[in-house]
Parts: sequence; structure tokens; C-alpha cells
Amino acid sequence: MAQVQSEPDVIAGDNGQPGGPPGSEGIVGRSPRELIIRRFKRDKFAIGGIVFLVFMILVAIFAPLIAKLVGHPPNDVTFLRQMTQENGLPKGPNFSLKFYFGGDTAGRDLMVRVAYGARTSLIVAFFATGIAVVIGVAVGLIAGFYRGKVDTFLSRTIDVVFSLPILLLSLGLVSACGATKDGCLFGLLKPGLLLVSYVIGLFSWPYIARIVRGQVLSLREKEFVEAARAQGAGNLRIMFRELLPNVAAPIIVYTTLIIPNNILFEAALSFLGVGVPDTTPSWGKMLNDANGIFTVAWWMMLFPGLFLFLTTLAFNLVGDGLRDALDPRTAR
Amino acid sequence: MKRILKLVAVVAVAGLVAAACGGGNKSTNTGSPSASTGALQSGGVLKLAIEADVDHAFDPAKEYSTLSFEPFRCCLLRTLVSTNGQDASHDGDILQPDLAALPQISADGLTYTFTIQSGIHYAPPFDNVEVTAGDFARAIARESDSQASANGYSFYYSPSGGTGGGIVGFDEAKGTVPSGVKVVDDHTLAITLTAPLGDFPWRMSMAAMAPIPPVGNSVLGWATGHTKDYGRYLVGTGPYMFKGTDALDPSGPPSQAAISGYVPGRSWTLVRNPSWDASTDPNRPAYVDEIDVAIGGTAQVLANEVDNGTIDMEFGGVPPAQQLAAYQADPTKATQVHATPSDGVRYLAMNIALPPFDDIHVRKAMNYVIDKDALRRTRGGPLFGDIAGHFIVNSLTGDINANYDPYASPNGQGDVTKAKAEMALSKYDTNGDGICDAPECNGVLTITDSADPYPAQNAILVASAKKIGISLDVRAGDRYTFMYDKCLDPTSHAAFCPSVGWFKDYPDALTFGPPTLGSAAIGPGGCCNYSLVGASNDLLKADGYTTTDVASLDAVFNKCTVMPIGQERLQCWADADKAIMEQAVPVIPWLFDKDVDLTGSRILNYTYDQSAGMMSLDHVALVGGGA
Amino acid sequence: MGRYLIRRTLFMVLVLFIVSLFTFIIFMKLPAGDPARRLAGSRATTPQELQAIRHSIGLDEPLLVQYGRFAKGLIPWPGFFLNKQVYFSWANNVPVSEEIYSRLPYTITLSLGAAAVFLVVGIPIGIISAIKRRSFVDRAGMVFALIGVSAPVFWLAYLMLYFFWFKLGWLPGIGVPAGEPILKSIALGRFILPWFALAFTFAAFYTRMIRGNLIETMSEDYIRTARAKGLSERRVIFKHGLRAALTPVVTMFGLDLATLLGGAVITETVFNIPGIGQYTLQAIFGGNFPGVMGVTVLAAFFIVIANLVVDVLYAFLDPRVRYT
Repeated sequence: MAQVQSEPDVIAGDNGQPGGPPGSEGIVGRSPRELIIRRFKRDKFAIGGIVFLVFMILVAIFAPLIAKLVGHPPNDVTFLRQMTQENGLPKGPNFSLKFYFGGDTAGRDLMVRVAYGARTSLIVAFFATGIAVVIGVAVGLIAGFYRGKVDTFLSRTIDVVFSLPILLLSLGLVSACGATKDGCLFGLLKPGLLLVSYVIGLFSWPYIARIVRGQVLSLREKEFVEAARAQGAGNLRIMFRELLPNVAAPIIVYTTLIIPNNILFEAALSFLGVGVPDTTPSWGKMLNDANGIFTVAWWMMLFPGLFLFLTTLAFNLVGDGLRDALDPRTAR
Repeated sequence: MKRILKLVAVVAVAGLVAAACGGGNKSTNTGSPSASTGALQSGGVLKLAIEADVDHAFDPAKEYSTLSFEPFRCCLLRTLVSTNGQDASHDGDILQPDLAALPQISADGLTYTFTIQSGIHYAPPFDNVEVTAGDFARAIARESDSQASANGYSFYYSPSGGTGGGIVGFDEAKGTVPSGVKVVDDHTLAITLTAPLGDFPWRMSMAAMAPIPPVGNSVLGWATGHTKDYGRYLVGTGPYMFKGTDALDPSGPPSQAAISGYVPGRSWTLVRNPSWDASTDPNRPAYVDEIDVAIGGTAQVLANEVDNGTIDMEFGGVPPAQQLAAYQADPTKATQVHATPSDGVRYLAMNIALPPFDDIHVRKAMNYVIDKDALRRTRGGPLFGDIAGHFIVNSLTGDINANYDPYASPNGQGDVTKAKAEMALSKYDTNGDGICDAPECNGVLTITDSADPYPAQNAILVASAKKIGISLDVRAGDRYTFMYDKCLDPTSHAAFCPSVGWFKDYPDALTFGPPTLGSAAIGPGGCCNYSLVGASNDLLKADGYTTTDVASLDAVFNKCTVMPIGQERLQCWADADKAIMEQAVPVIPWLFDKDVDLTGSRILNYTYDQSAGMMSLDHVALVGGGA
Repeated sequence: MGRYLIRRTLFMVLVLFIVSLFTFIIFMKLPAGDPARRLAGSRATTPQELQAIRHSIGLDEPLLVQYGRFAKGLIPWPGFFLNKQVYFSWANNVPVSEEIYSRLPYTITLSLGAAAVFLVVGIPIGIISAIKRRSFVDRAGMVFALIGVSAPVFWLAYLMLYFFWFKLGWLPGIGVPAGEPILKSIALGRFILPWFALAFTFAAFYTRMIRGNLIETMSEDYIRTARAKGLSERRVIFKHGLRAALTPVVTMFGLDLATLLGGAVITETVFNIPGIGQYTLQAIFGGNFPGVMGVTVLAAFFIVIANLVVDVLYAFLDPRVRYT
């Protein structure tokens, strides 16, 4: 769990420890938009990250086209006897058969599967992060706005979630609910990509909630809130029309930084043998497939891992770039 | 049946462990064990490793993992009768006298009388206690206690166990000696059965029937107070014992410290049992002085340890393909690879009560269309077995069906033409083009194992079935907690269970029929009739099936079960095999399994124990006596 | 301080209660099917036998009583804690405590070793990067940190094994032989690759954190004052800057170490180290609920204790913090 649970620390990494003491630096997004964009554009790393992400998203969208171009769909086993040895060991890249990344133990095209794996990773990451942001923003807004007992309760809840052995509980949830056709919790959690997304989202919202709460706590004393209240704005209106836009910047930054964590989370679950369903290609599962034979079938380890790594790296670059652009004090 | 648990034990760990359970062919290893024994020297420490421990900490009444069968037979527990620990070509499948002579059978076939050798003593601290008939009655009494034998195989002794019959009074005994068991005198034991069972002596060769030393007048003797953990206090009569057995206190309480030489999940250390007398035991040469077994590691890890000499072999595992390839390619090392038929079949089970498999033509078409060769390739290729054309392994039916293959295809790669012709006869192919066009063929619920090599096999199966218009909805999970759970529960409506296999418990075809395709073996109470062959109308209705009339093989099996051992019985089972393949067709057998072992350079006289399905630990010796 | 401690302790108990409740529900109640059937495995079982199994593990009692039995075994008091009547492996009856104690040395070795590596690597790189901003060292350090936070540990482990064991043969591969004394395993270098693989990600976090903190601290007023007093730059950094910048590290380190002690599941799995993490996975996939409960709560226990210790320690390190 260490590995996975610690990933979110990247979020807090420069800001002190979640659950830790006060004194962390906050993120303030009051610079004019043009300034931010200009600063971001100057960040070559972040631009590189954007370019790679666009590439990866295109790969994910056009995965079927890639499969068509090389002529082997992701679950096609007709090349089994060409792409594996008689003892079942897979064969490496073969350009004449258009297996540019080599084959796996079922003789499937690894390149096509890596492309389809991008779909899995991105869908799960975006969806899970979406869930986390919705919950996190709601909890953070309410806790920061109402303060008092509500805040105490929600903050303690956040503390509790931070103390949970997240990986273990996720393993249990996914394997319990992925086992039957009907899922569990009265059919609320059905097996599939969504199940994994829900579970990941369920455990990653506190990061957002904590950030939003902190921001709201300081913002709610500001004049513009008083002004809105004087004009007769209700609580909901103040929260969503006045406060939310002002915490949008940090939310965007932290969302960008949570996505790579969630990608790694999904990969870890799949690597450990739960995660997405069997027929869905996933980078984590492909790395699991490489276990035990990665010394003789290096391509099975190299390519899925490389794309997993590059995708998380790209998200981290973009996230760092956004943060630096929004808050020049931390800039490189 | 036991072998199924071996699969479990090895695969269970996180799906990261490579394929479990290998198999070998009729000895590609050369040289008969008996021919080379002359030069063998005793002594030395045999160092082995296993990936995971036995399932129930060596409690002989509970333990059903293959891994335990060999240590029990070779080393720890002698039984009334047993085998010589060699492969089938060296009579390893023939019952031999052990603590007793072969039994006398009454004329009605119901009473078996065993005459027990005199002068056999237990391992220390019971080294002055002689083995007597009452000690075996004690073992039967313990077996009848459902808590003590939970997870074991009491169905072989229980009249209600669905195996043709059992010991009179066994079900009522509940931890006492059943009325059908008579201790005639110290060296004579008579057992009466509810029905004649030709294979009963084999059932008495299993570890649960090993004698338990007496303590005072208690019914269960030394096992008293050890319902859960007898394996950690085990005292037997074999050539070896767990190190530290002698430190037990025969008069101490059950809560005393367990034997130190067995650390569950970590190690087994077997040392010579000073009470064992070779002159009373022709079955067990027992060459090495000590057997150390380290627990933990993947096939890959243990392969490295064999390569660098840290251990002598991985016991009961599957050597990685790359290691096998390297050894086979090297003439000096090729003899270290051994492949022996393990009397097991791997097959795909279809639920004959569920559409589309409720139509026999669909089931036959599936038998034609599956690419069995591709499946075998994912397991490691021809070294790991021969493509199966029928269900019961040839050794159990005297090779009568050796050339029988009703759904043969070129190179075992599937025959789409014949499959389509068969499919065209089915009600699910309305236009007769050989492609299923009914909605029932869409999303056929397939429950399977998620560990290697099954993910690769799933892809192959999906591709094969698609050729006749069947699309599989594959759900994979842990073998133990998911696959068996769903496949054995008729209410889960699993249509296709492709990751199953079956291995004999002892060399009789009975262990292949009723447990896999008999109506008593339908879950969730029974195991392992995944296909619901012989399911009653009531059961089907209660479990939500619309089909109410399914084929049954019970009558076919019952006819063979009661026959005495001999040619007629073999023929009967061979005919039953044909009935399975042509009348009921609930299964697609694809591999007659071979066990593949890779031994380190110190091991001499590799011998395959056909009864346990593993390397024989008492027959191997070390180069120069381990010096 | 006293009231604070009491409040924190109560909160700890609450957290552990919630963790145990979640674990009970997720692992015991959510999976479809009957745990007794799962326990019986793939074999014929009569209804009476099933009942016997159910009774032997207390499944025939009401839900609350079942949970209560497990909860009682979590009270950290001799005689209660992981008591053998409840906390034993359902498969082979081995007490969970026996399993945990025999595996703890491996997990401790792995954790402490990795912690040493990431501190020794992460802190200096972070400091140098902060002091020499925009230098080559800083750039290289930041690239290292970015790679570290982005690379999944299982892939790193594969790569390290592929090169340092398989290709170059410099270091031992996967696995710690069961019979080998742990000190010998360490001496033979069996832990080197796991230490580095596990430490890599952490080192990256620490580098980033320390760099960020130090840069921020160095722009504080009191540093400027120190400089104005004419102190040497070295003195300013090491006497004033680092003290403030490293305080949060203590916090983070405590929590990370606690997390690691709860079992580094992935690292232990890839390198096949017989520690707590590996046991956890085996228990989860083997349907061994008492084992799962034991290790999950143990992991949570480490975390909450670390939280408490770290907070108290923080008060001593940073005089600005006062707890009431």
C-alpha cells in the first residue's frame, strides 16, 4: 500500500503532509488569466506534457484504427502459432507480421493492446477523478463555509479516510463486487470499468476536500462575500457563485495532480489481479502478465510500463506547470 | 480430486504465480529406477522448496492437497496397504501390503479383514508403543467426526458420501468407532461395508487411515484435543518424522508446544524416524537422511535456486518454460527434465441445463471447434501432456480407449467444418448455416480463473467459440474464492467453466466418474459436477432453470462401481467413458496432463510416485550420498 | 497537552473502530456466497459438515456477535490481542499472530532499509537543489524527482531486476529463501534491489518537498534578518533555514514509515519477500478473513500511532505550535 497511498503525497508534497501540522503554503490564483497562460506557455516541460497527453488521448480514441492498420484486433489469437514458441513463450517484435511491440502469451498484438490499455487508464482516471472532485468540492465547500460542528465532523471524516489502508480496502471491494454479475451493495457497484472508478474515486476525494476547505475558510471572510450577503444572496448562492469560482484554480491544479495517482492506482489494482475485467486490456494487467517471464520477454514488461510511466509523467508535468503558472512563488 | 486443490494452493497467491500443476509423459526420463539402485548411496540432506504450504497443516484427516500426499506416503505415515512409490510402468499403480497384508475379502464382498504386522513401533516419543488394530479403528473414528475431517475426504468412508457405499455405522459414529469396524484382536481388523466396493482397499491406503497412537483409554488417543491441529502433533510410523517429534510429551496436555520441525507456511524438516525398521517395509528405500523443504517463492525464484544449487528442486511445481528450454537444449542437462503422465485430465465444463448448451449438438460442436493445441501451447506445449480425445485417463481403463477420439481434428487445432455441420443440427441455428443465430448464444456466462495461463486460454476460447456463433462473456477471478465458488453453485447459472481439471485420488476409474459427473457431486453441497449432469427436475426448478430434463450418467457409473477389480471393471469404465463423450457430452477434455519436474544436479534416481502424482521422496538419492 | 492527548487517543480508537468495521463488511459480508463453503473448498460437503464448519468459525452467530468477536481480538491487551480462539487462519488453523510475528522482521528490514535509502538520497538532493536553484544539479534533481513520482514501483522493480540481476548479474534476484537467517539474507544483498525500488518514489517526494520548503523558508523575514546580521550564508542555511524546512519532513517520515510497516504489498509481491504485505494478499485471495482483519487493523494501528507521535514531536520541534 505504501506505494499507492504515498502517491497522493505528490499533491501535498510541496505543501506539507496531509494530516500534518499547519503552516503549509496555500495556492492563490488571483493572477490575471493572461499572465498565467503566458507563464504556462514558457514552461517547456508542461507544454511537452500537454503534447504527449494529446497524443495519448488520440491513441486511445483511435485504438481501433491502429488495430485495423496492423490487422490484429486486441483479442485476436490467430497469430498464436507465429507469435509464440511451441512451449508457449511469446515472441518479440516482428516487423513483417506487423507486431511492432511483439506478442503476448496468447499471441496477441502488444502494440494494439497497449493502445487499448490507454483507453482503460484514461477512462478510469478521468472518471475516478471526476467522482473525487465532485465529492471533494462539495465536502470542502460545506466544511469551510459552515465551520463549527459541520466542519469538525467533515474534517474528522477526512482524517479517518486518510488513515484507512486504502489499497487493501480497494482490493477487497473490487474483488467482492467484481465477482458476480449483479455486483454488490444492491447492484450499486457492478463489475467493470465503473466499479474500479468508483472505488478509486471513493478514496481520493479527501485531498480535494482538504484544499477546498482551507481556501474557503479564508475566502469566506473576504469583502466580496460580505457584499454578496448584503445583497441578500443565500448560502447556496454564495457557495457556488462566489466562493467556487475563486477556488477553481487550486481545484484545477490538484485535479491534474490526482489524475496520475489514480492512473497508478488502477494499474496497481490490475497488477495485483483485481481491477478491470479480464477481456479489457489494461497496462497494469499486461505488466502482471509479464511476471515471471519478463527476463525472456522484455517487450511484455517494457512497453506497457513505458506508456504507463510516460502518461503519469505527462500529467505530473502539466500539473506542476499549472501550479507554477498560478503561483509564481514556487516556479522553477 | 486432490489435484484440484494443488492447483489452488499454487495459484492462489495474487494471480502472480505462473501456471500451476504440470504434467509429464510416460517417462521421457531414461533408465528404470530399479536398474540404477545398485549404485545409490544413502545419506545427505535433500533440499527442496515449494511455493505454498499444504492447506491444512498436515492434519491427515483434513489434508487434501496433492502436496501432502507424497510426504504422507513416502515419509510420515504408513498405512494398512499402500504402493511402492514408483510410476505406473514400475507397478506404482498396484496396491501393495504395508503395515498389513492385502486384505481377505468375504464371499459377499462386504467384509474386509486386515492382518497387521507385529513389532511395528511409532516414532518417538511413542517408540515403545506397538501398532495394533485399535489404532486404525481410532483413525476411522476420528474420520467420522465431521469437525476433525472437515475439508477432507470422509465421503470415501461414509455410506452417504456418493461413492457407492461406505463403512457400516460411519455416519452415526460421530467421533466414535463405527459399528462396522471390529477389532478382532491386536493384529486383526475387520471392516464391514454397506455395499461391495471393489476399490475399498485403496480407500484404506489414504493418509486419514493411518494409525493413531493410544493414550490411556480415550477414543481418539493421541489425537484427543487436536481436532484442529493434529498435523502439528503428528506421530506416525514412516521412515521419517518431523524434526522435534521426540520432544512431544505423551502425557502432556493438548496445549503443549507443537512439533518444531514443521513451521506452517515456512518450512518442513523431516529427519529419520529411529523406530522405523527397513526390514518391515519393502516399499520405501529411504535413501536420504534428511529432507528440508523451504516454503515460499515463485516458480521463477525457485528455478533460479535450482540453477545455482541452493535447492535440489522445486517440489510439485511447474518449472518456467525458459528454464525447461535451456535444460532441454543442453545435452548434459537434458536428463534433469522429467515428464510423466499424472493421470489427470484438463477439460472445459459446459452446463447442460443452460442454453445454448442444453442442446447436445451445440455441445458436440464445441468439442469439434475448440483449438486444443493452442490451449496446450499456453500451458507449455507437448511436454505438458497429450491432447485428450476423451475424459477418463487411459491408465485407469487399461488403455482400452487409447485410440478413442470422437471429436478428432487435425493436430488438435479444431475442425470448424465438422463443428458447423454439428451446429447446423441444433435448434439454436435456425437457418442451418452452422453459425448459431439464436440470442441464447450471445453473452454465454463463462466463469474462469484469472491466473496464468488462463487469461491467454480465455482469449483462445473466445476466438474458437466465435467460429460457430457463440460469444462468451468471460468473468475471471481467484480460483478458490471465485471460480470454484461460482462454478459449483447451480444458482449462479455459470454456463461454461473452462479452467477445471481432474486427477485421480487412487488408481481406479471410480475416482473419475461420480465425483465429476455424478448427480451427488452437484454443488453447492457436492463437488465437482459443474455440468449438472443428472440434476433432478426439482433441483433445476428450484435453482431457476427453464430446462428440466438433463442427461444422467448415474446408472452408467453405478454399474461399474460395484464390480470387483479386474478386466471387466476396466471395460465397464471404458464404456462409461464413451457414454460421457457421446451420450451426455457435458465436457470438452483437451489435455491428458503430464507432470514436469526439473531436478538439480545432485538428485539421482528420479522416480515418479504414480499414486501421489509427485516425485517420490523416498526413492531419490543424492550424488555420493550427499557428501 | 494532557487533554489533547486524550482527545487524540479517543480519535485513534474511533479510527480503528471504523477501519475494523469497514474491513469486516468489505471482506466478510460483501463477497457473495458462503464463507463456510469457500472454506470447504472444492470438495463434497454435506449440509451437516457445512454447519460444522460454520460453527467452528462462529458464522452461525448473529452478525453483531461475529463482529464483536473480531473486535475483541483487536484490543491491544495481552490475552485479547489477536487471540488464538478467533484469530486463526481458517484454512490451516495457524494463529494469525504467529504469522504476523514471523513475517514482521522481513517487513521491518524492508521498511527501515528503504527509509534509510530515501532519506539519504532525498534530503541532500532536495537541499542542494534549493540552494543552487536553476543549476545543473537542481535540474537533474528535479528530473529525478519527476521520474520518481511518476514511475510505478512494479515497473521500476522489473527494470531493476532486468538490468542488475538478469543482464549484469550484479545483485541477487527475486526471493528470500525460507530457511535462511534474515541477517544472512541482508548480507547476501537480497534486500538491495527491493530497498531501492521501494525507496525511489519516496526519495522523489522528499526531494520535492524539501526543495519547496527550503526555498519558501529562505524567503521568510527572519532569514533576511539573519543575513542582515552578517551571518555566513552556510550558517543561515544550516542553522535557520534547514530547521524550519526539515520539520515537516519529520511528520512525513513518521507517517511513511508507519505505512511501510503495514506492509509494502507491491514491493513484497514483486520481490517475493515473505513479509506482512505478502501475507495480506495471500489472506485476501485465500478468503482467510481473520488474517485480513489482523493485518488491516495492524496497518491502521501503525498509521494512527505514527500520527500521534508525529504531532507530539512536532510540538517540540516547532515552538510555534501549541496544542490545547
